[in-house]
Amino acid sequence: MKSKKYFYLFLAPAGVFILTFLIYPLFRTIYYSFTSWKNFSPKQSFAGLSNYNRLIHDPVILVSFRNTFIMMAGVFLFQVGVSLLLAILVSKTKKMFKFLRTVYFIPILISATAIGLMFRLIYGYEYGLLNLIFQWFGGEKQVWINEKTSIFLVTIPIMWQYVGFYFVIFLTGMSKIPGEISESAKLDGISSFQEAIYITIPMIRDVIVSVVILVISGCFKVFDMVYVITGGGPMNSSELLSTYMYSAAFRNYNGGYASAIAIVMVAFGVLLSAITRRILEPKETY
Amino acid sequence: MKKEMKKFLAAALICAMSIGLLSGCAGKSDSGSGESADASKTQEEASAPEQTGSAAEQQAPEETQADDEGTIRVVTFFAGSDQWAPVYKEVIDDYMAAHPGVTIVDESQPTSGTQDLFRTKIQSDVAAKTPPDLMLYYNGEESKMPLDSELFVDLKPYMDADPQWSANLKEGAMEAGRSEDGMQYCIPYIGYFEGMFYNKELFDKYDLAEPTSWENIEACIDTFVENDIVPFATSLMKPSYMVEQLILAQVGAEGQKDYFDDSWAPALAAMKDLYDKGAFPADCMTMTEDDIRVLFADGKAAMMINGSWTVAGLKDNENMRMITMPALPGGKGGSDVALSGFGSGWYMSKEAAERDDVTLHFLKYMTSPEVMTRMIAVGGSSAITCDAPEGASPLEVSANEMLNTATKFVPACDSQVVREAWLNMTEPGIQYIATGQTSPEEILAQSRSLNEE
Repeated sequence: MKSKKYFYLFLAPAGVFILTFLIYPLFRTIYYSFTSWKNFSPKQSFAGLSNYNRLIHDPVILVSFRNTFIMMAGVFLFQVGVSLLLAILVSKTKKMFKFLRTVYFIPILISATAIGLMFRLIYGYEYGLLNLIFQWFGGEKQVWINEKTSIFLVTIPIMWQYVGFYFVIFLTGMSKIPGEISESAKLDGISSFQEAIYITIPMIRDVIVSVVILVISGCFKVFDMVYVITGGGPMNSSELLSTYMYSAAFRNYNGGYASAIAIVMVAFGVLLSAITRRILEPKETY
Repeated sequence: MKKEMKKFLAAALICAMSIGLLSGCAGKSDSGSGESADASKTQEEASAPEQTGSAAEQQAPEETQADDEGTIRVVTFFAGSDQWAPVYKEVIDDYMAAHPGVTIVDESQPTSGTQDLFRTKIQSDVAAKTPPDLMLYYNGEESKMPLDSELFVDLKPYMDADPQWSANLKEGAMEAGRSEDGMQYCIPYIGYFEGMFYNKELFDKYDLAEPTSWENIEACIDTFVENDIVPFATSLMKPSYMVEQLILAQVGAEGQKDYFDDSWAPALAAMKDLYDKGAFPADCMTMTEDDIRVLFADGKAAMMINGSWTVAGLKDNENMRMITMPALPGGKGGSDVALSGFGSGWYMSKEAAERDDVTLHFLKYMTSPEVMTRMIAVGGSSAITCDAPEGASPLEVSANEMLNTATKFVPACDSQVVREAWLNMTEPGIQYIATGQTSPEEILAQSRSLNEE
């Protein structure tokens, strides 16, 4: 009985925090998504499913989904792939280990807004770095960010920034592999490539699953980089659900529609994370 | 013995704590009564606004001492790269230096550029029912939000109570801050005007007629494009000012009030026509408002549609001029109609008004002729009778001529309609129209529907 009292006591702060800042806002957002709520006015009127009806017929929502999947594929291949490769390579080095680990981690410490501004300057037409380099080599200035390229150009800095983060997670996972396994395998004449494929990767499978889930859920949280570099344009071509929701709420001041987008985002995120977990988690064998 | 000693120590400790608590309460009680005395005094003063005001300040400064103590939260858009930001800061500092007991917490946020932090700040403060004591916010359609919140006071009684102060507030300008039932929900402040800026040097250099007619504009585009000069420094990411001017040039003052009517379509089609002719910068789809100002100021663009807030940054260049956008072919606009108005004003919160007169005094200071002269020396037109700033530049002279030539003044229509409807048409609607992905009529129908929701 006494232990239960302490159980509730210690759980209370976290419970209150989650209820106040997560559960309550979530239910309020669900409520707002069924209302017509403009200009953050204190008055809302019940609008039934009209916000969801608009959402279904809104072509920008489809573009946002497409862009989220493009970004997911990009970060999956480059963030997980490159960071795993780098972690395997760096774990083999002894001299530069600490230096390389620090260097790859540095982009994480820079604010996404600063990185976004930096890349905006790189892609700029009039005074952009890329055009400057092009002109040095006798080329002509290009409009880099257009309807077709925008989503790929904003994905590049996102991939670059988080490689170091997953790299450190992989390195930590690899440090937990007992040294004896690797040593005995080497005695059996295994090559470094075979060691990576048959020993390292299978033994950090749990870490890989966690990283993949983090990467996928992270894609729903991307906002600042896209907002700073393209603002979701041109012609909504780089819009993500997060930027479109922000735009609906804080640019168009349509709280009802923004809430409907937020609910779709939450539902889609939960669904995708559950599917990923189901696919990647090892099946129990008897 | 040891036990007795422990008991004695415990009793002594309890006594010491009790005395400490009692003395603490006594101290608090004293100060509390002092505060309540002050509060009742300020309440008396608040209930009798006719005893306060500039006249009272001048005649009996010792009586207003109680109003000279407090903290005021103020939110304006005089922040970031806004042209009024430096002089606004000076004005605040001067006020605090003259009233050492008053602290002004300036929470101003920028409204121009890619991020409209100002609107977001005000909207969230009002939604959270923690409005600033004094805010400079938009009127027109956007006044719905503060009015619906019922967090702000009707300023009319305060104006009536202090005729010396209110006599300086221009009646014509005050109308912009009045509701249909006669409530003065805000005191309009600095007026704006919008028009077409052009760089006379570039027109002279290529021997082109100045852009006083649509034919002249069309004639100069090819020459500028051939010579790597951007005809119009315009961003299709933020094309509102250009769209407003084209609509006015097409439908005139009366037609502008038929929000999202199909009669606006030729104005939107003109944007596509200009885009097809290469009249806009190559990266017009992603340029920001700041980018286009730099492009025009650097002499890389011949014309720019913008407002009075950009005058300060351009007036040192003697080749800059400002005129009204000429009428489109068959259009009803032209030099007799100017896009001008008082789109924002001061709102005072109920809480601040009930608390004391500190906020009201600061509002009177901000709307005094002396402060107004300092503010409009930077740019804009005044809603308060004040002296004109001296030493006007050629750009300011041409802007003044533009306003003097006009016989009709209309406000920008973006503040008269539902914001979502306006942005649907301009951002990114114009991009879809310019690239031929949709028609002006289709976009207008969408915006009409959003405006009527």
